[in-house]
Amino acid sequence: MNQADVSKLISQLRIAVRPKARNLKNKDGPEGRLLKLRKTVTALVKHERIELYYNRADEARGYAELLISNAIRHGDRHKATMELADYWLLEKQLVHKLFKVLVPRYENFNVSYTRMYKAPRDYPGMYYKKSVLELRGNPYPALTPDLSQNRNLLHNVLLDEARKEFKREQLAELANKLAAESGTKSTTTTSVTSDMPKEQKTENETPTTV
Amino acid sequence: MSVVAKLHRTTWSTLKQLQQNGRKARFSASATTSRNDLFTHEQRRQREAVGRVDKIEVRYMGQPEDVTLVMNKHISTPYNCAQHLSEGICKRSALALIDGSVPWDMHRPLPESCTLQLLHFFVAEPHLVNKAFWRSCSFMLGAALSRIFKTEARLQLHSFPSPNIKSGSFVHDVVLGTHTWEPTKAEMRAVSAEMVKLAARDIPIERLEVEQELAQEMFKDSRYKNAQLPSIAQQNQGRVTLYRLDDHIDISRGPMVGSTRFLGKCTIIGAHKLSNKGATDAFYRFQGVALPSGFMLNHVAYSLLEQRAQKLNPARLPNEPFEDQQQLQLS
Amino acid sequence: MSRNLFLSITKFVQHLEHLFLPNGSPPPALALAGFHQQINDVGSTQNFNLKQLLGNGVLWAVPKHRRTVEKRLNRKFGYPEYVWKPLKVKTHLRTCNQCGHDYEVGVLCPHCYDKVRQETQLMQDKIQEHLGLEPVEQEVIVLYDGEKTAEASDALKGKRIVEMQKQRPMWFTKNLLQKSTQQQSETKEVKPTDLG
Repeated sequence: MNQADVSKLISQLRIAVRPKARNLKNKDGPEGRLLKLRKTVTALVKHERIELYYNRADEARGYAELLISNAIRHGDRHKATMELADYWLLEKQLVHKLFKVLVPRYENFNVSYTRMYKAPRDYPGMYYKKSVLELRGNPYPALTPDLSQNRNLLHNVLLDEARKEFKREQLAELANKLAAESGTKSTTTTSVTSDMPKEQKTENETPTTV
Repeated sequence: MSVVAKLHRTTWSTLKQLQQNGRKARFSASATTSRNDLFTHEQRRQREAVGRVDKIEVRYMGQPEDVTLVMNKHISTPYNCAQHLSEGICKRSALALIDGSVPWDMHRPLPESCTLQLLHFFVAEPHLVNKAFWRSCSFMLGAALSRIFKTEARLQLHSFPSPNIKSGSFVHDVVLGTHTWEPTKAEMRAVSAEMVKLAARDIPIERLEVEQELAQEMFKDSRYKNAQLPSIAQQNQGRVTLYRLDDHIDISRGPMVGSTRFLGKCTIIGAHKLSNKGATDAFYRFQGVALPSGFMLNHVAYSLLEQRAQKLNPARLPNEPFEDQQQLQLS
Repeated sequence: MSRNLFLSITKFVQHLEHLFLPNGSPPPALALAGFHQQINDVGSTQNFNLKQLLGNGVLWAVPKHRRTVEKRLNRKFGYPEYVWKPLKVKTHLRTCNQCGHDYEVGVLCPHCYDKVRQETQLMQDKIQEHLGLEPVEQEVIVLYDGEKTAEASDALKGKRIVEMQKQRPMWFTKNLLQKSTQQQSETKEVKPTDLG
């Protein structure tokens, strides 16, 4: 069996899980706590982005991750998973969403399925920390700026140039190999390699004119 | 009693040693002090030469709102304008943009009414500020090298070529009094540490434009700088632009970022010997890579950048004849 | 030396006294019998005057000792390492690169977040308009004015299209919706990240 398949046998949570569950205060006791968490998980799957107090969000996040992870591993023909989905999703039309929308979306993910941000709170106001909990790949505007979009930022310029140089070296290597293999093709390959430094030179000269 | 006497004797001997060291250091540092004195004197003279204070209107465009500021002609700098806006903007602005096109140092007085934009490293079009950052890195590398090498090494700073970010490294060319120096990893790390120390001290980078004669006077004991000065002055109507960082002064066309604070992650990774110079000296090219503070880069990606910066930078070599170059060698 | 000797001798004498006179020796004061009695009598008549004792209540719970200046200042201003009562400098504030407002480190920028929250709310309302009791089986794609025709048809296939009746905001870039141009690789090499 391939090693990659072994990883699918156990549930992988790609988030930090607290060693002990939070005892979220509720007047109905543990049942009330669970009901509240079920409502939160349902809302998360339905709206894909919710804002709530930090403690409950962090607690519900683990359950949502587990639910999606199990749905991906076992599919909708697995009784225990279906019971789990039935328990956590109070609106039953969302069970369809879990298996038909979220599972295809997250099948090949290497990162967590949810994201959590600390939300700003009113000052002065209630002290409790607020947070935004969202499913990845939602259609809403991103909450944090994506620095990889602007290729003109300094680190992106450096990385792009490093990538170009790596490809250039690979190409030159390939050309040399081909030249070594066959003498007939040597004329064409040498022309490729001789182009490389020229290209590099023009690139380097352009900024100095400023 | 005997303990006191011993203590006294030891302190006395260390004091003597210190004095001797100080004398030695002062002897070698006399050139830098006189250069700094001249710089400070000229700076003060230029400030006093302003005379009657006239007002200019500076139209600031950008966050948080567009405002018009009434500033002092030849006195107020873009940094002073930023001080009217907010502390956060003061801290993050690395370079100013005058009239939408001219890059301007943060600590350079404004000569006339203009529009002003303040640039940082995350603006949509960061070419200018990136270039200024790369240039300041080269300049800071010169300062770090002149601090870290002992007088026995006979280090003389030569120059640094125009900043080219795409080459993957910033460069400073120096002359060392040896033919056979192979830099070790620890030595390169020490230079990097000196750069980091400079960045931590948050030293403002000052700019001053002086006449060629004064520049000759300042760099009279620096052989290579002195040789470069006439051609540089010729391209700029007999004037030379100098930059100062703490006590390190160098010739550069500018612009540079406002302070050493903007240097974040930094590694000086390579020192290549270019060629011999005379019987004892040799040209060395120091190279490094750096990111502005606030840039988070994965250490694997950064190590790739470091590997690339280790290769010899193809910029113009210092031993090539200066006048032959059509383009400005110093920037 | 002589003092120590004197002390040890007196201690020894006391010890002997204790041994032979367990009830204690007579008090070492001068026995002014008559005078002593007189004082005692005067005191007893005044001591048991309860009214006088209660009436002078000011003297009950008062500080016995003066607080030092250090303690008073500590109580007033707190202690830097423990509880510091005056205002503190906040060093975790930064300027947002997008909007120029200030925000706390590690927390979303209030201005940017408010903008996103309002747009998200509008989108959520629009998406949920048509969600009834029907099972949700399709991904949602949100299109703004004038985008429906421009969008390639196969990118929208099998997806529920929700149209916003307004222009796309300037700050909401569209290329998040675009498909990546990366082709699936033909190689069989397993990436290290895909391993367990």
